[in-house]
Amino acid sequence: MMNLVMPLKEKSPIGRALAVQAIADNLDAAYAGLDNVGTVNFAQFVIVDNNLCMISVYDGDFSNYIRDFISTIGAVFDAIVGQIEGGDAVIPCEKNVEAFIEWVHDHDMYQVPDMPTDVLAAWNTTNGGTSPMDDNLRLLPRKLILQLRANPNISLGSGYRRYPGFSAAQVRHKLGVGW
Amino acid sequence: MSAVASSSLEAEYLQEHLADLQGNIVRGYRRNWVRHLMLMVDTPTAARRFLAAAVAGTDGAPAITTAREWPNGVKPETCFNIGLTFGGLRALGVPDASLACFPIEFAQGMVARAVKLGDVGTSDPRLWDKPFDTPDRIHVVATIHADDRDHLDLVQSQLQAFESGAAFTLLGAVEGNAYDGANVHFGYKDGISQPRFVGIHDPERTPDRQPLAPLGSLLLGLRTAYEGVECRVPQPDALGRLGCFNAFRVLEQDVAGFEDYLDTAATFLLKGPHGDELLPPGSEKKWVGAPSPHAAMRELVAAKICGRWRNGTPLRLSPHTPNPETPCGEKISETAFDYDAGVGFARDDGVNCPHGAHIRRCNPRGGTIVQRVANNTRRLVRRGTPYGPPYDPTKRDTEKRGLLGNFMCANLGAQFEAVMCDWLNLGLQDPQITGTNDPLLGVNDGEGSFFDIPVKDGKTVRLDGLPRFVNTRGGAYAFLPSVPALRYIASLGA
Repeated sequence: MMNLVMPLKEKSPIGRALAVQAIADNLDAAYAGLDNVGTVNFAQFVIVDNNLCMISVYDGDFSNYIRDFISTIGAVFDAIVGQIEGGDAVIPCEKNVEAFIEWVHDHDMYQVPDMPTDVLAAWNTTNGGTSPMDDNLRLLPRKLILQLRANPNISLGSGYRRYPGFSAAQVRHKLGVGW
Repeated sequence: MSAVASSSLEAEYLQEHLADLQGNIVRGYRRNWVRHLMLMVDTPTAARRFLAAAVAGTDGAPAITTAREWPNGVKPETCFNIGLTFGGLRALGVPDASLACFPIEFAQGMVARAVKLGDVGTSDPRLWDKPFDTPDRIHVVATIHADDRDHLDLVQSQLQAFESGAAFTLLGAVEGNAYDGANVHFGYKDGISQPRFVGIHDPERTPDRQPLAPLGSLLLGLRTAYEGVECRVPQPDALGRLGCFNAFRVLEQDVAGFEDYLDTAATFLLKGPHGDELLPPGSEKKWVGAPSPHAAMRELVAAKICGRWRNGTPLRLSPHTPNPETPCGEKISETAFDYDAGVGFARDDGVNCPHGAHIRRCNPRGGTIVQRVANNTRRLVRRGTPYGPPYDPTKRDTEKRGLLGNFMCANLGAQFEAVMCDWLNLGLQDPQITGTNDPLLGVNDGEGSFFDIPVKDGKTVRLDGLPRFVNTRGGAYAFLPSVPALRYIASLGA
């Protein structure tokens, strides 16, 4: 799940309107891009205060997801990110792929893990025992409180999925609506 | 300098710069032996002097083999190339501002990317062999190719004798031997489907139906496979341009386990309802050597797992026999195919080559995949050499054997890792295989893992209990700098 919270450059009704305009102008391209990227289950834009938020549920790896997006509809990203504080430094995204992906990653909300235990074990082994188990949603440890103090915006786990473990393409395949 | 724009300019640019490229990037040397030396920089000044001497071929240092034509068309007796890890660049004195230009996956190194690469469980980096168990100490991966071990020793001794060994500490070495031409331990002919590049290969002279790859999918600073998308070139330009990244992997292969699985699967399929469809009774008598039905079915399973018969014949073109008859008795093409419909072909819905077969997963060619934009964008140059003794099926042993693999590309994240993470494991590219791993080198566990073989009428035969046949025993992400980059690094701190 991706939860981008991106502070608008212009923090006013005009700034919010510009962001809405940038999305409205590119809506068809954005949806076509979502189709072509192929791994997206759901996506939406919302404006909260002076932040533009992009929320999506995707299959697979985050970097691949963003990279495929850049190559599909880079211009749409550019138009949107142009409305965001600090966004000018990473556009055009086609020429700044690595920096852009890192920038997006930095704006993605911290996600309190709810990973299944086998993934946790794998994580734990490869990270020398520093388990994200410490941050388990159900344990509410001190570390999480500190995290919330440092960053009030977090994602509570990866959210509910009606088809856990199934990709968007698998669902579409089963429904016979093409993938 | 911006990316070179058109393909003809690119071809010209490359021809002018062949002497600037390390030779192992654009050609397989096809030598019998390879040795990879893992080195730690001891004295940066001496190490930089070594690089200067290796580029110039002076002061007794082994000379870097470049991509230029062999002098008088004669291949040298030894080839020598150098890869630098992120830690190696830092140890050699590359400034922080330059280091910051390198991609995050390279900076973090292979060990930190273990989960993405499937290096978990029995492949966990903490279980890796020496010297890969101390990845931060590996600064240089130096590679020697030769036809015999004496020549490997000679080049190694030149390297170690340089300034009385002050430059590097040798942490360890791994050695590979192409004991049987292009064949590898699992018995397959390997290295068939390499990307062909604009400016290097003539599309008229290659039967491969896959489009030529732009050079920018291999070398930094050139047009990539994603239209308009550029990879960041580490600065200064001399450092980054025409560099290439290499995922070096020590991949242990459980050949006995693989052969056992073929036995079990063949018995299962012969008894099952689709045995006759998969191997029409009596058809194996026309194969070279006329194997028994069970032996033939074993070969069919091996072919379904890989997507090729062990002799290299692609299942897509020859689904029923490794020895297809052709009109004039010519050898069937190993690369002239695609998975979607084309001239003379219907779409292969997995009945010829399963969607989950190794070669179809790693390179779906022009076939329909979920990630519509990703076709032909994740190409990798693969240079592998077997290590360990050949497996003799009549004498089971516990010898360590496997493949020393080099997977080269311009962007490890967009190419190598993307293949490893989304395609080889997970199988996101096709809903029919999503949730399963590559049958040959995926993270399978022998219990819950399976491999589906599509048969007629939309049915599949499932092979259960698929074990893990390949385990990672070591590796490193290395940057293969251009010759000007090696000169630049050598000049640092002067």
